[in-house]
Amino acid sequence: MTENIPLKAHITAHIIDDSRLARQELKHLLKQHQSIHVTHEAANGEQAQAQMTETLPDVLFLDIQMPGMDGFELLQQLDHVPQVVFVTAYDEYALKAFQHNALDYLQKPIEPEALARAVAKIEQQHLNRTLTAPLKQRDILGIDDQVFVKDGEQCWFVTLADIRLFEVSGNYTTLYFDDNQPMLNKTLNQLAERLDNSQFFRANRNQLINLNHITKVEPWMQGMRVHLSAGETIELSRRQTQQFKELMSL
Amino acid sequence: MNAAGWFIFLLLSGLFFSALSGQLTVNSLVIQLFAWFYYVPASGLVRHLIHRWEWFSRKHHARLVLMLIGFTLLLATIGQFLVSLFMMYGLHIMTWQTYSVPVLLVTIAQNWIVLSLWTLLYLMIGHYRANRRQQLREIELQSALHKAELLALKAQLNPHFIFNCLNNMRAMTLENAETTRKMITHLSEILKYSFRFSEQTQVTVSEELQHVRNYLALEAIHFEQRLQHKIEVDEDCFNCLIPPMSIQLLVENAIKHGIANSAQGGMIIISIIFVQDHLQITVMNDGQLQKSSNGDGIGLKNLRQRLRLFYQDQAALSLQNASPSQVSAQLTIPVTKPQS
Repeated sequence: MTENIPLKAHITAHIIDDSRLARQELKHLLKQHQSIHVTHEAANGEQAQAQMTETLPDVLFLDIQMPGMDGFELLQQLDHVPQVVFVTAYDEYALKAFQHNALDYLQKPIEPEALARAVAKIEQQHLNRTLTAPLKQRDILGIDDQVFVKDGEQCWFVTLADIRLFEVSGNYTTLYFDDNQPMLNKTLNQLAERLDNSQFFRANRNQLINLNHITKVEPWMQGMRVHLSAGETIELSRRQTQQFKELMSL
Repeated sequence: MNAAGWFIFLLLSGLFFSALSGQLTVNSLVIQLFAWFYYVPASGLVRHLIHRWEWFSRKHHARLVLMLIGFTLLLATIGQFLVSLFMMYGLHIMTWQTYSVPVLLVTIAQNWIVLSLWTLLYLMIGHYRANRRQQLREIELQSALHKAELLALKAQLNPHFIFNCLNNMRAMTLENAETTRKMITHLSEILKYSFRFSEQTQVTVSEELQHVRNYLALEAIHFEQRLQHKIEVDEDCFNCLIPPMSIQLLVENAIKHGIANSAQGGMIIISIIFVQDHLQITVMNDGQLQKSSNGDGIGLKNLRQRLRLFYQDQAALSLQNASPSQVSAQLTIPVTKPQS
């Protein structure tokens, strides 16, 4: 007799939309889905950001057009980005962005079946996440956390595990993942503080690397240099070489 | 017309020759009548050939000119030959012996010149008519294009607005059935208006304002306390004619920049007054023009083009900061009233 423990999902959600009626409507529709618990709602980006520094939800239902920060701008401000479902009334520009970047979205007025499909997907992803990353530390970004990056028309939800290199570009940071090199509007120092230092290593003043992406380590000049999975070669500063050796117990 | 022309010509030439020879006989008139019976169908044949050879639709005429010259010469020769035969065997006033080649040649030349002139005249009239038709077609094409352009430029209802309305209605059914009913009425009126005037280039101010009131009523439900508005209109302006959806476009723009962008919202003021022989429509919203924003959005650009197509340079649309905290969009249109 196998024991079947039902995994009762408890997924917290924030609704961010400047229209009270729209929030009302979505809450009403979500009553059909008992796994989703709407804990907060916000009428604009600033309010939403404040709420999320208090409690981070599992999922955001996010409108695009809002006074002040729009939906995309809000996501760029966040350190931890939860799962996001965009919710908007017909908007050619936004639809293009969603489709082009394969983002999850719902169009107002929301069709109940479309919402059901979105919720099913949220539940699935939630399950995957809780299984792979059992303990989430609040202030540190682990490899399973994702950030939102927007570069012109393109945008991505990138899981940190996929980013092999962070590089200083003035006040911004360039992220290297797959074939993309978009910029994030945070400084490398800001990022370094938040990253899990058992996974990420500051190679020198300008570069921070993902240890899982190192393919080769070799001595170089007075220090060392490493090769990354996509072929980049990163030199470690002398001071960092010492630390690197300790970290990797070489 | 053609037959009458030939009749007059041959009568005159008959009289001329008779006068020249000093005698007007029945015979010379009969000869001219005979010639008339020949030249009317002959010129008809020339006309037929001109069309058969597609003279009016061709670009190069050199070969055709030669062919026409040859053909008219042939016709003139045959004609003169037949007239001679008629004179010899019909009227018996001439014999092969008295037949003079120089006279024959002169009369052939004379008739050939006339036939050529006839042909030339026919071609000229033909070309004139073809030109006129071409011009008319061009004018018709122009006005059709013009109309299509105006229709294409017509401000369309924003789908974002419509779907937000529907979403709000669905939410409102749970809160207040009476308000939901009113919302449905407003949206129906808006749709009616946009269907009704999609084919029209002008509406009265009062029709447009009614539409704007419906629009504002729905936006007020969407933005709740964030949207306040005031409408001030000179009584005399109500039956003036303006382009449909023009005030609505300015209001939509004002809401987009003055209300939707701001968390605390703002006030929209619509005013319509007479300034000399122009109608001045002003829509104000809270906020300031961004210096960085490069010019008009698509809606304003379309409205400008519609104004230019319809009023040439008699109408104007301007956008400026009215005070440190207000933006005003001002539309100036020459006063026109519906004929009643």
